[in-house]
Amino acid sequence: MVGLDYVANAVVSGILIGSVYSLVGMGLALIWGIMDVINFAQGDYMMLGAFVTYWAFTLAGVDPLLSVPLSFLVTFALGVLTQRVVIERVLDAPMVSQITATFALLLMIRYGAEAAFGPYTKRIYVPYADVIFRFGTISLQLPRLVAFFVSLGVAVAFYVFLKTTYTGVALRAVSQNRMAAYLMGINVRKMYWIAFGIGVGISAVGGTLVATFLPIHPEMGGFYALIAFIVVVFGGFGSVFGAYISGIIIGVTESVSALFISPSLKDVVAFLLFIAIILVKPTGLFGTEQR
Amino acid sequence: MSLLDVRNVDVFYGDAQALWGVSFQVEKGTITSIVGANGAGKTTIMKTISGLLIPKSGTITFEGRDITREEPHKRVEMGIAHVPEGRQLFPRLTVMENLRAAAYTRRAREKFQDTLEEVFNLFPILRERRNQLAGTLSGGEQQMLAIARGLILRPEILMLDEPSLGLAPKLVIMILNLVRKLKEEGYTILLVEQNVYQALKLSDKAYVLETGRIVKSGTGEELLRDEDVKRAYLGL
Repeated sequence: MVGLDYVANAVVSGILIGSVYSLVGMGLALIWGIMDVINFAQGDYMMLGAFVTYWAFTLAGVDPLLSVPLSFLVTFALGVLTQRVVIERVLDAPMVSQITATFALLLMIRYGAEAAFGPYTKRIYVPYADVIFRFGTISLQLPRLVAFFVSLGVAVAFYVFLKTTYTGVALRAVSQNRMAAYLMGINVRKMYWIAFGIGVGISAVGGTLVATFLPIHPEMGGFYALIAFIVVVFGGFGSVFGAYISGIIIGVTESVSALFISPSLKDVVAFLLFIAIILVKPTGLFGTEQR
Repeated sequence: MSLLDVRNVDVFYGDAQALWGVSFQVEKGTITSIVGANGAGKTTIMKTISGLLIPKSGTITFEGRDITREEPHKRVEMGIAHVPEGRQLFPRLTVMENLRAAAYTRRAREKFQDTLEEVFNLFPILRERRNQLAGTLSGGEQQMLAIARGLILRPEILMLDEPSLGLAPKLVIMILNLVRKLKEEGYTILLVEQNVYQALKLSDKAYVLETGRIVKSGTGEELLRDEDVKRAYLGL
């Protein structure tokens, strides 16, 4: 029999890892919600974030937490470039062209990184990696706890940005009615640069956070992209806030099922939960309407 | 010099020509209407002026500047506001957020607080409902919000496409009175209205559009007396 304290531990560690899934999912949801483009390379921008952090740490000794802004800005810039050079050209193209374009990005980024950094697993050893907090029977690794709070902070900051700034309101306006946005004097093209930049930037922060407590690899994006897709569909297509909550739900599902069933089946269980929810509520947990 | 000068404009949807050599002018401080049957190309004219459509040939000049190929958001920054047919609100933004979305240009943002006050005085119901989602407003309120958004843009010219479409008779009169009031406040208005009699009565100048061509023009009164117009649009 599994003790209650194990379950509590699993739930808490699920919440912590889930908050990273949330960030990757939020980025995907933002791009999807605003442009109606499914970015298959989302996980690979996340990987780039992880490698920015790795190299900043290895070459310059920058603490991974300090590289959060760096990771965001580098991938934001790459995202804007991607939008201008690639996505813009397929925005009004058939969906197959969009899928092909973002899949090509996936291949270029993933195997470009593998060619540049080598096909090896890398690890950052932060000085505080083994600091453990105990709350009753629950024990937490400091890097994971920090990752959770950074993720929460990024999500809250993003929410405030969307709700209170002119640019944030304009982004939401573009997602709801592109033609009306033009007529309000909103530079829709620029909004798309910003959306793609922020979208991949937020996911890259997820990569940075993961790098503080898990090994990283040029092909790591595949796993996280898959999770991000569940998160987005689960949270209601294009709903950025739904994505945050469902990321955590997926994290908890995984870690609890690893405890009760088998660690090797944890992703299978997450997918089963996903299928079950979609059968019952096709618009996702927090989706209210079909786009 | 006219505020807006449209000259010999041809517009196509794919291979289908929608406007044929359309020319007309809008003078500052006037109400100009375009009347015509459904499918005549009235909305196409407005979309061409706001930049959603680009003409194949011809020129559009605004305040002496050639804007024929200018991007839509730059035209808004210059003072061209288009309140489209069917309102086109942002349904899942609140009333206030819809108005803020219209304050994106520098031109609008600088005066936003003042304009907002004016707009709320004009439409007190919008002040009451400012935190409500636009999609949950009644038809009349949605039209008020659509016009309010147009005013937030601080336009030099306000283009209203079928502002009374789908509204109850009482609201139609309210909207048309509002158009008159806006003119008295100094706005320049380009109006497309299915309510031909009312539109002509309001207008300083009017153009009749038939299958993409301007077939007649004159002052509102002249067209009201015109036998062809009477027969075709007024049912007299």
